[in-house]
Amino acid sequence: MKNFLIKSVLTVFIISGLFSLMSYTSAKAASVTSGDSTLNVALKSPKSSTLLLTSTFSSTQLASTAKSSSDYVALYFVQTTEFSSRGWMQIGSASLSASTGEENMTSTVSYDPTWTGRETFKVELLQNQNDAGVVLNSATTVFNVLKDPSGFPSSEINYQRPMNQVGKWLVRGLLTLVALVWILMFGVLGFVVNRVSKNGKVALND
Amino acid sequence: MTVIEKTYEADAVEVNHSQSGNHWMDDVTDSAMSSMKNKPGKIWWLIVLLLGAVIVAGVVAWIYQLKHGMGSAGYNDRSFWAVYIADVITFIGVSYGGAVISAILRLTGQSWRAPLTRLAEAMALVTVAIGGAFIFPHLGRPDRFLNIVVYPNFSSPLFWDFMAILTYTVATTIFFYLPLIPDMAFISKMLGEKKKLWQRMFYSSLSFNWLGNEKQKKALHRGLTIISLLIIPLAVSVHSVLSWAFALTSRPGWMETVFPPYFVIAALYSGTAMVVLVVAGFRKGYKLQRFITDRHFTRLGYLMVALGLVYIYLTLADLITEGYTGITTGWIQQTVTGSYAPAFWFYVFAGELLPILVVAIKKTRNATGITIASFFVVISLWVKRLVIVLPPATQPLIAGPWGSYHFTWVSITITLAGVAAIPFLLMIMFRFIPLFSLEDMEEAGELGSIEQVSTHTQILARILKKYVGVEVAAPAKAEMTVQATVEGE
Repeated sequence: MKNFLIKSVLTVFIISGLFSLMSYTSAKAASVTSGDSTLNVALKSPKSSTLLLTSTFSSTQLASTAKSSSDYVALYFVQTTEFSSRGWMQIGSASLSASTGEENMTSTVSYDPTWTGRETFKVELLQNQNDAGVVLNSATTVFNVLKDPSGFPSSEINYQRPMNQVGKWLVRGLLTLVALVWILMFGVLGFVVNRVSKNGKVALND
Repeated sequence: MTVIEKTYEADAVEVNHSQSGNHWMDDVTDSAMSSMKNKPGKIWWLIVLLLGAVIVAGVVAWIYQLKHGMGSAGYNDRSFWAVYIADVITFIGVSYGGAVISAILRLTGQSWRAPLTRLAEAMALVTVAIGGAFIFPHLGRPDRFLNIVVYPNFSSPLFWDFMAILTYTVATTIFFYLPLIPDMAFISKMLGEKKKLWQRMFYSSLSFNWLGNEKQKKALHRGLTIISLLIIPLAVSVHSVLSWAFALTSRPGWMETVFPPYFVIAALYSGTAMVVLVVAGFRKGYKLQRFITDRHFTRLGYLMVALGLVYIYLTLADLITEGYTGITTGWIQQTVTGSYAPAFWFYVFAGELLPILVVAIKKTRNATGITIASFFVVISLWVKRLVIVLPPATQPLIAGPWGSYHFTWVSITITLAGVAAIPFLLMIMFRFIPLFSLEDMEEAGELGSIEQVSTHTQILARILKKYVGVEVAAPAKAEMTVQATVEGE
């Protein structure tokens, strides 16, 4: 019985491990980053709340198969949180400004942030036609978004997104609660079965 | 089953209940085992075969749906959620009612519950399994179901739905199994040495040397009390989380703060009605009128109507609050006066007014009247779930015409298969287990105890004694208190 339990637990671990390995391999294949790139975020004007996201890519390190800047597209993302999970939400895309051969290629998008506080932005460079979905280059940056740009300097304000941290702990709390309920349920079942069986055996032997 | 019949007669003298000369328990045992020891008659076979045919037709319809897509079930991009999610809510809801009613009556020490609990708990187990199975036709792509485990999204209420339903199913199974331990031992002893291998495996191994001594009874009661306490919040959580699958979307008509209690009360309401239907069916089929009397139905009827009143209050609170603002209220118009109005008003009349009238009028306040009312409650609450799902799902969020959902033979057949599966599984199940919990029935004692109505003071006194250890003298009957007051004056 004991061996069977140990084997069962090991089997579950092995299967979980295989699933993790499969998902890890596929994630790795989808993203290839190389070369220098920068992403700058700035206000459109001192009084504006609109942001300009400007990315610069070094053209010499890009794929040689592409012939002009129109072969590339830059995708812009902002990191979002929902409950506990984090993910990248696309906020725009732009073509590149210069043709291949020039030193740098740039692109720009504007974005009106909907939250204040520290926002993480990302840009990804993709080739338009071939190898769709393969990221050639990427860059991330953090920008402190202020609701009123003419107000306090951004360094002195640390806005927090409502319930930003709650989700993280709430999920752990809920999972712990579920685990406790399962332990309680099987604990009760085990307790009853054990007591009934033990007392029955004792009474039969007497 | 012939073997069971013969051995039962041969070994009956060895069983404690019979030895004790307790005629009450002899009668109880006879009735409880009637589903097992008697050979099934022609009507039983006919019903089982008919129900089985409907279930097979449902499976065929599902295979057809897998092959031809969700469109074959009437789904389209303007009606993306429809009948199957209403089925999921309805079936899991009635399960919740069965489990919670049994748990509450057990915790409050209501002795009249004894002939009902086994049927209610079995119904809870069967319906949660069927309700859970409805997720597969609802998904459209059942092969993606495993993704919820392999790639869990903790932000999604659907993940927590899965967790809650799974946990509740396990709790319901344990809640159903624990009171079965003494019965398993009884059947094992009754069958004697002539047991077949599967009978030995099933009854003997699941009874765990139960002899019915005080220590064993104490352990069983303690375990049952904890599970009864646990299953109530679990059932509340299941339906709350199920409601969040709707309420956490930004769709008008679904994004309602009232949804969790709204769903919980609907589940309790339809669950009580379903308990009445199951009890009425088995009472008639196995002639249990001596143990399950009109008074059982009357009490369940009172409970059902009380829950129905809370539910209509919540329905009106939802419609009036949302309707008053006048923002994105197209779904309310559709529900009350539009294309879904016949369904909504059917719920109001058949699911709310009818049960109130049946229970209010003395002439109809009996087993037959309350069973008919319960039938309409179950049907109309399913219709009500459709009314909750469809108008908001078909409302255009930007512009354009309303979507529409049309039933097809596929969705109707799959839904009917789920309905047929309830009596089918129960009838099969009770070929192997007794209709009553013998332990509960023994505790309940004579018929007077099963019929006894406890006053609120008595229930409170019992709870205080059992869980707090405080002895409170409670009057035996309410009438006696009144009489004493009059004499005192």
